[in-house]
Amino acid sequence: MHTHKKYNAPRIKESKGIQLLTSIWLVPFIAMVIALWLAYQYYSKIGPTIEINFKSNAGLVANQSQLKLRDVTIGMVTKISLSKDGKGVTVQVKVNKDVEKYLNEKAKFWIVHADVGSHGVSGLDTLLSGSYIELYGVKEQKTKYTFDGLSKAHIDKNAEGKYYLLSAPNSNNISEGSHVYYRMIKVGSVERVAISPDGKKVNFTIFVEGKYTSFINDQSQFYTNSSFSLDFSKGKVDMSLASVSQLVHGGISIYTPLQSIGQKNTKEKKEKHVFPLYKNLSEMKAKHLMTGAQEKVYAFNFKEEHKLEIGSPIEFNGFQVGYVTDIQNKFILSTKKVNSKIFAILYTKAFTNSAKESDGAKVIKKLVEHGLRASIEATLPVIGSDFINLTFDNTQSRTIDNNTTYPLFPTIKKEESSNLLHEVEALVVKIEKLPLENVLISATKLLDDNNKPIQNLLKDLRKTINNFNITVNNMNKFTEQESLQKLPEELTITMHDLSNTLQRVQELTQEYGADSTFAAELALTLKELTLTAESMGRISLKLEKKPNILILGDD
Amino acid sequence: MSNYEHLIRCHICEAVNIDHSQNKKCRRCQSPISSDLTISYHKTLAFLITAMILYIPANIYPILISKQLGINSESTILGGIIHLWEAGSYPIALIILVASVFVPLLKFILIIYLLITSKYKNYSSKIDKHKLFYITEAIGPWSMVDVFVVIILSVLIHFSGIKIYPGSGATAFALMVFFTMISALSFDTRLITKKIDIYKKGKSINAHS
Amino acid sequence: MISNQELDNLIICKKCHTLHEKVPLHNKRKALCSKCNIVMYQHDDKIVDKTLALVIAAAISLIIAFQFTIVTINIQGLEQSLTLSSLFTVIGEHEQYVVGIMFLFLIVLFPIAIIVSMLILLTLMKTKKGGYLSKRLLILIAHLRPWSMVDIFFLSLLVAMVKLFDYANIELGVSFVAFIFTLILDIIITKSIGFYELWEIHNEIYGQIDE
Repeated sequence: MHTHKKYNAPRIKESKGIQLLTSIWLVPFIAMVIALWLAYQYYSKIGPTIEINFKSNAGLVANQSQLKLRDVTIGMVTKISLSKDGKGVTVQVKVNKDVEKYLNEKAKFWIVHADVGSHGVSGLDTLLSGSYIELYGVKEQKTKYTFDGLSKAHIDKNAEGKYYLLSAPNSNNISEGSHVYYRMIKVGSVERVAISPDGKKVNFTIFVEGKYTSFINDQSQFYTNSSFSLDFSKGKVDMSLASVSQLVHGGISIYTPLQSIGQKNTKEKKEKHVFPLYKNLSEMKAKHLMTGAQEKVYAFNFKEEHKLEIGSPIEFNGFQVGYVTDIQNKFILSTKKVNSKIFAILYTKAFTNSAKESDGAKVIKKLVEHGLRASIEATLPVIGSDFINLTFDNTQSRTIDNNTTYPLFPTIKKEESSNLLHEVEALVVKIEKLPLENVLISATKLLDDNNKPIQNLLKDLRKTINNFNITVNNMNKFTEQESLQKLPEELTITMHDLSNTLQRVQELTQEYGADSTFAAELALTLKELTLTAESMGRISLKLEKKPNILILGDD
Repeated sequence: MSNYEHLIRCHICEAVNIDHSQNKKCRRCQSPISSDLTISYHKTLAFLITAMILYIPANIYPILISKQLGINSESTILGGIIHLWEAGSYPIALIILVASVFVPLLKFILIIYLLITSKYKNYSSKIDKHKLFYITEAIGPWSMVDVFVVIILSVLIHFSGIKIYPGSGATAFALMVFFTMISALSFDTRLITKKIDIYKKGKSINAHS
Repeated sequence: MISNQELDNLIICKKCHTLHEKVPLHNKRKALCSKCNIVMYQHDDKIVDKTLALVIAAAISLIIAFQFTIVTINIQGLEQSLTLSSLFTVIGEHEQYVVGIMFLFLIVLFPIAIIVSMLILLTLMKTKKGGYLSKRLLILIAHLRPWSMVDIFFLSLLVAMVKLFDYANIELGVSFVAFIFTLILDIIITKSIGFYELWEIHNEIYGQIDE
């Protein structure tokens, strides 16, 4: 059984291997070197671990949330635990070594998390990335390793802005976090709202960012934004609805007269100066007495009814030259009427003639002597608001009475002021005088079937219709007659053309009928449109259900 | 070489020739070598059927669940491939298709084929069958690609706003691959060369053809 | 009966199972199967040294690969890093323990076990000691080898990166290169030296060890 069969013989192949004999040991050597270098790099970058105490943990996750300094990641949260005194949360953070210089007394830590509140929305990007701790600090020598975290973001006081103090009788719905606006741009926020120690007013501390503080000086006025204001004073309806933030939290606006900005003689406010906070814009305007700046207060005695308000304009030739600041009403028993004493500011500067007369008041005095009078007029009949109009009226000669506290401006009553209203009235009266009722009664009588004249009329109508039918029949018979042939040829041709046109019209209308190709094409187009709309709808539905398709491709 | 069909190769210490007798151990490494062929047959078949059963939930259950701002979105293997294809990443779709669909199915088919031909006489060359078995063993682990991809994505897409995590399908799929590998492992190559009577445990018929 | 001596001279191709007679090789020569042309065995004088150097390098690079960040992605400012520990953290967070355990074994434990075993084995062989232990190690390695899936993991890494390529900024970390290095070394180790040769050398050094 020992048949010596031949086994298969393998093929031989030259190996093309490199001479790895000595150089093979280079490989692990290089690997070792690289490993050591990497380890050194890694461990040298690790810095100390610090502890921060927060009142509560707003979304931080151990081993995931980061510590950032000016949006650069410089550390990571390693452990979160309840603090030993049970009043808060202790967060351990591993910090990079190069940031160690920032760990000192001046360092401030706070948690940045998504915050949707009435004062606004912030930190929404943390919804996707997770909350993180933000650090603000300056480099200093003394390092410390335990800190107390802030509950609100820290704003750098020195570099970035100024604080101002305001006060008002009540809070005007302003609270901490309300925004401060200048020219409707947010320039700061309310830091603190507190009742004054004596309980008589409310003190506000507002912070304005550095780049805007140059717009605030001792001439600045602060007023509360109205949540909803309907301004009739200018004679038209001016409606504005404040932003949601303002609606809930209110807002403060700053008004600084333009000419005072940048002027060297205006003083930057002393730290302790307290600005008044006005309840609304109108109140600010009313109390806004720019003494010495070419404005003067005049008094007006109006005997008629009016709808003037504080802030109502005074117009001269269509231009606004002042506004009402105060209205005092007095009931006079003898006449059983209410006398209105109106105080208003006139921009005397508007009356100056730069070359000749620089004192507007003097000019006004002269104008009054020449017949300038004040009267109450309405911007629109019935619904318009009233304003004081200065016009010339030479019927009486009067002057400005300077004996009272404020110079008294002469007034007249305008009779034709409600012209339109009177005309309407007249029209209504005339309509009333029309014997409409009688007309109506007669009309109804007319329509009564039992009324003979109507019946006759109907009969006639029927007769006419019959006649018309007969005429038409005659017409038809006529056209069928052979005498038609005898009609001049043009008429025949015209008739033919007419019938052809009629036929074509018929065809056309048939074309657009239900069986026509046009209808079919239209139907096809409509169907395509419907399909497109449907697929669009499906896509949008899909996106609604799976918005992550945009990110992950539905996988 | 038919005289030498009683020489076999030890699976463990490679290419050691052993007489097929009642020697139970490899002469060099002492690992079990002459185990019962019928047991090998049944083991292979059992593990394969387990794997095939597991393949069903692997495809039905989602392999990947994404949670975006509270909205859960699931994706199965086949669904993922279709979406990848539709999104235009053809190479990735192909890789996943091959690794997660073709490879397991191919393994099923190959092992079943080898088992069947071990029972009934068959005319394909033994060398080819050995080669097929070699292929089966070689491609076995590669189906795990999809599972690993899911795990990697779970780690990478891990933000507050959007999270990805493996679904039940991933577990089933991983187990399926495991069982196919075990099945191939318990397939004794002598089944290719020998015809067996699967119902008579302990007795194997030597077919010296 | 064929003697053991004669059996030692025979070899069976692992792919097509054809029987061959061994031909002694010179240094740096490979023997191919006559039917299917794969490498059956090779010869190299310094095989133990070479293998040991490569295994040490592979071990170092594997440790690096496990320690540091593999990739970092950046989606519109949001950053996320992939490290080995983050893999386990996420698996634990989502309680997918089956997948996690399989991952642990296939990617971490078995590869490490293989490399450690090879290190011990080669050291033993170089110092020509511990015949019994080295044999057990060879058997252990033979059992473990099909279950190490580091190369498959790397491919999945590439697939995942391509998937994310359109949406995110991808930054390769140290471990990425380390994995590539480990893979290359792994391929070299299995290709340039086969385990068949190790068994042969084992036989040469220690003789046939029976239990």
